[in-house]
Amino acid sequence: MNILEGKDITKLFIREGFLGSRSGCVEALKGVDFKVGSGEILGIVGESGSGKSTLARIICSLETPTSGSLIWDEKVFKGEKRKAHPAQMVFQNPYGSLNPKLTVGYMLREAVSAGSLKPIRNIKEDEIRKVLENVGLEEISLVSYPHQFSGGQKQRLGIARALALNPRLLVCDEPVSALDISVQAQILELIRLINSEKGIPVVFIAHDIEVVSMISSSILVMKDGRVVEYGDAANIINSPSAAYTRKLIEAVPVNPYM
Amino acid sequence: MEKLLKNKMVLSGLLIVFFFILVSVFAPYVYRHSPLEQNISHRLRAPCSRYIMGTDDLGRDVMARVIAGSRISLSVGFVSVGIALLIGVPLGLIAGFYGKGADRVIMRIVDIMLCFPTIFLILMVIAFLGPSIYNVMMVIGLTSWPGLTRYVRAETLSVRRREYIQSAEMMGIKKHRILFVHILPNTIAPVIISAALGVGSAILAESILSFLGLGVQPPAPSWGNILTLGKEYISHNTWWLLVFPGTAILMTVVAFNLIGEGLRDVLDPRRRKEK
Repeated sequence: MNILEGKDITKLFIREGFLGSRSGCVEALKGVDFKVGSGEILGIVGESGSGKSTLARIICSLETPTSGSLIWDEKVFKGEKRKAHPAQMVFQNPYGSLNPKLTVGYMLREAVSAGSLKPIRNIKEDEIRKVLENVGLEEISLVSYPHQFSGGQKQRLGIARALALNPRLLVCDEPVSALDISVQAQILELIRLINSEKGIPVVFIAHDIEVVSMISSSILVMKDGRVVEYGDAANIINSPSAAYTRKLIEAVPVNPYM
Repeated sequence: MEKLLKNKMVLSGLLIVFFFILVSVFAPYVYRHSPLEQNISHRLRAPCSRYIMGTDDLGRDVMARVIAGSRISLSVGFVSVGIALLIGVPLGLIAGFYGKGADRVIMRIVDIMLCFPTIFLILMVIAFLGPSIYNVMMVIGLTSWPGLTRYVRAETLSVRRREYIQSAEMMGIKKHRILFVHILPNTIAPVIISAALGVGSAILAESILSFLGLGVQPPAPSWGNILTLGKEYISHNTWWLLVFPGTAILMTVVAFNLIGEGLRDVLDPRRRKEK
């Protein structure tokens, strides 16, 4: 069964000129179809400007599509106010994804309360600890501030916050691009673990096809707002049909240590 | 807070301000002369052991008047900046957060306000309302909010786009909660800085108004109207009527500017790295 299906999604960004006149527009997405099955990891690859982040933002309802529809559990999604979104996002920039003025404890308390619809006061500390256990940070102090953590830890906290909301789908928008190689591997492993243990499907976005191939069960290759290739991950990596995909695979630098 | 006190600029600024506050609060109980007590036989005395800062044209003690004037100057500074904050910050938040129509209307008002040369606007309003210390506070406050609104709006716009705000939106957190818990605390740094600088310029504005005879009315003392006297008797070589209130104005304004500049260094991470 599909958790989420996107049908013919287009997005037009209109640049507003003086006094609301239209001075130009950018077509970010030109009819994208995709499906996320339960327990699946869908990797989305493409160069910058290919529309992959716009797609992620549309999945999370941070943008509204110009046309097309998102179908959650076979129902057209219209968005509910005051309720956590079924998709939660893990952001690219670990420095901007946590509010610098709030303690980690308070941030997670707010997330748990939003996920369970309980008032913030009634959230107990062990509920927060349970969330932190998911990302291997059970030892940290809840009264510390985000700047006291490393990039990898911040990214874990971002994942913890997303998990606290019991999402149907985890959207990771370039979650490892800002991290160094060894930490990248840990975060990828963590995402894979969350997917396999909790059964939460993941949409994983990266510009690096190697990273995507390491983690995904199916891959969607995008270029200029269009789907170039979509299918099973192993098939695409081993026998890419589109020329663009081949180019992406060839562009991966040869790792002398492997 | 520790970082604040380590910053030499903030520290020296705060020390000067505390000195003025202490003096203005306690000096009237300690100092023997009243700022209003006249003694015609001792008029226009140069500084001596009895009158440390000399006397004015009615034989009033200048030091007592400068001290009493510091009360007025500081309260004008704080009250008018308070008024400006109360108007400027909410408007900036609304403009930056809700955008669209609200943003357009508020920013056009700000543009219009910024088009007027402030001091003439103040002069005009005072001419209508009549000179009094309360009118001065009100008018300075009511004319100095547009800059704050711009700061807050710009900061709100940039904070709005941060990922943690989007994450809060995805959590389904109510808008006003996002505004007050997530956005406001992250926009407050430039507000504090410009408020500190604003106190200095408000004190200056009050001195100018009093100097022009539109602020605090004699016999009530203010730094500005002592200076006016100094101007009138300048041919009598009464330098003490100019130097002492002038120094007081200079010191407080410099103190608040030091605090403002120092806070900017402490609160702005990019400047912090340079050290």
